[in-house]
Amino acid sequence: MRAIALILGLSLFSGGALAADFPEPLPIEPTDNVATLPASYPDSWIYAMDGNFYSVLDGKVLILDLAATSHEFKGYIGAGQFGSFLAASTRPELYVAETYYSRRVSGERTDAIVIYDKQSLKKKAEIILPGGKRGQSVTQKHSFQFLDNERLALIFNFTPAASVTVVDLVERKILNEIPIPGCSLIYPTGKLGFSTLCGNGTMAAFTLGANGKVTGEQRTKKFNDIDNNPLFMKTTKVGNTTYFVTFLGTVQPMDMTGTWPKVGKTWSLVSEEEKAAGWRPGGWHILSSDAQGRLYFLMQEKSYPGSHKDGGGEVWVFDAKSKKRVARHVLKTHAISIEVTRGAAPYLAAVNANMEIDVYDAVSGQHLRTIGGNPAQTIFVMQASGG
Amino acid sequence: MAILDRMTERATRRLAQGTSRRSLLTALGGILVGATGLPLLPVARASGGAGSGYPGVLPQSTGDPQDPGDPASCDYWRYCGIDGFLCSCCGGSASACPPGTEMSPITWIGSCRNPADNRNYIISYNDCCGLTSCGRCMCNRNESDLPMYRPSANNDTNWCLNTKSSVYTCSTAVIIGYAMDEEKK
Amino acid sequence: MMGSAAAAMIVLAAAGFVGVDNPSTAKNNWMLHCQGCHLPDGSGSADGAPSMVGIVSRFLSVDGGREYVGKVPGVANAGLDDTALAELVNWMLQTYDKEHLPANFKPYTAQEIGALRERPYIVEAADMRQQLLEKMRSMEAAGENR
Repeated sequence: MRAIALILGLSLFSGGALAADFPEPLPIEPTDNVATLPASYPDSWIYAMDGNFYSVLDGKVLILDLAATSHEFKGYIGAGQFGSFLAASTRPELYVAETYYSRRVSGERTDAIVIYDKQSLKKKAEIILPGGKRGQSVTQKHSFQFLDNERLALIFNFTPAASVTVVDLVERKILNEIPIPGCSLIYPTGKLGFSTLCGNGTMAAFTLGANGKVTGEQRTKKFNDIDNNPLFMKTTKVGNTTYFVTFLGTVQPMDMTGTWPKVGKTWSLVSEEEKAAGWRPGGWHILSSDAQGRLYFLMQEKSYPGSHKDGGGEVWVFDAKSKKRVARHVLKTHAISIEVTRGAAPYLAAVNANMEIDVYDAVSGQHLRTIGGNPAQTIFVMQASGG
Repeated sequence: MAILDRMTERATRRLAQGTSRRSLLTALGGILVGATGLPLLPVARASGGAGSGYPGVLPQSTGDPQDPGDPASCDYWRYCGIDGFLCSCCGGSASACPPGTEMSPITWIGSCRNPADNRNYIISYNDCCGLTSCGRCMCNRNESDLPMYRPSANNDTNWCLNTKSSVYTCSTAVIIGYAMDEEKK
Repeated sequence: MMGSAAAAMIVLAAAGFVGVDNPSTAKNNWMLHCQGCHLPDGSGSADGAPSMVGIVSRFLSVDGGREYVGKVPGVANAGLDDTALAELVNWMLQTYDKEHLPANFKPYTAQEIGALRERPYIVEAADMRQQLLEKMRSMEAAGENR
């Protein structure tokens, strides 16, 4: 509509007939003009990871402002070939772990952590990852994690032998590689340790020395009933509790703040009646939380075996403490992934079936706007910035 | 291979169709596992026939009544756990990679029931590698998929492993066996 | 390699398996749980899943090897109950390395496998394998010196 008005305006004003109304011309603008971003991003900004499955060599991470009613698209950085992403909060840096070949689809393989400056979004440095083994999958937050107050990063490898590479982000060097056969992904634990989910339903935990070497190991009991009601590998954190959820909607709290992970007492998102109606979590990134202690789950109705990634039409909101449902948001459009921002007035972002991002008021569930315009092909994971 | 589909078609169709039978099976506790260890797929998914494929993708047929359906459609019976672009739409077939690519020897393996002979077949979802994403016929079905801590049953992984290039092109669904015990049931 | 393994399997089918109730079930379980990484002929891949061919049964002849086979994560974490897993392991030993099967081979039972798989190897798996391979080598060397 605005565009039409502009065209009409141009035709009305053509010929400079009304130049008298504007005695001064528009200022002359400099070229070589490149936008920059603040060193710390507002809480309402999110990173949207576009794996770009339709040209997986050329994925990217979009930076979007969910609060904006204009200029919502802030910029983006590359993240090719199933790239993983981390944003530091203790220094103005962004990290992309990615893979590329010297001849695009062939030639020499390079795996690297590419380091971007948060303000200029320009590449600052890179750390080459040895061995050509960086694990490639549909975007998982837990394939690339900070440790030791963002001094270290851990990267999940899969060849199909599973291992974790320990990287010193400050010194920009590789410290160690830890084999974790039979286990997958990385869940930071305690001050300087990590846990990993194993194929027998346990979680194995390792403490590390400052040099990245393993100093201790413990395992939890079997708490993940993989063959009947498996855990999704996604988490969200409220206070000291890290939350997982299972295919059928059992919430599994874990305390990962101590040296070893503690398996908490489970509770269910769904009543017996809701279960009978086929309600369960479903989609790709199916849970999030806000700074006020609410948990958000993307829920699907009429589920069936194999529908666990099909997304859902509602977001259910629970108070983490009371475990009571406090809201049930019916989404404008079926969604596959959600994320909630950390501010005082949190926004709920939902990647919808058209690969646009629907923005909702996280508390009321009111749909505010849709960020579309074909910015991305296949966004599966979003990450609230908050710093 | 690995990805969520764009949902626009399949998910909406599924939502519209959502049957009480499916809900009941879910309520019973998710994936049922048979005596042979093969997941028993509860919904015999015959291909929907004409019109079940992708717009702009011409229909195909195996020509074999024992291998029914359209291999260029996501509803083809062998694709019950596939995640990626169908090689059938990309110059290959359900069991062959497109020209110029390499078939990954390393893969995940699931099982699908053939609606024609009611046998439960073991399906190897080998990825094809070395060309940029095919982009045609994105299909994501997850009937025996488990998270990455069970890699032998996971379709989120890029299985272009031990190939010259790890660049993912498309996915196949190759019959590598069948459960003999199943026939007796 | 595939050809010789296939030929070996035909011979075995005729000879019969010890500790395997239903070889076709064991083979199906191999396909569903192992073959994706270890490959149809059991040969594995460099930097991936190790080869079974001509090696896997030799673990049974060295101290700690029998435990290793039950604790290695690919075995221990398979989505199978103890009975099905014991049969699969017995089938695998006799399919991919029959020639090194000890003369007094006792098939794994469900109980034995159940106990071993309780605590799979993780970080130590590769070191354990190296140690056992070295034991095999020194055993061979001792044999040659005799």
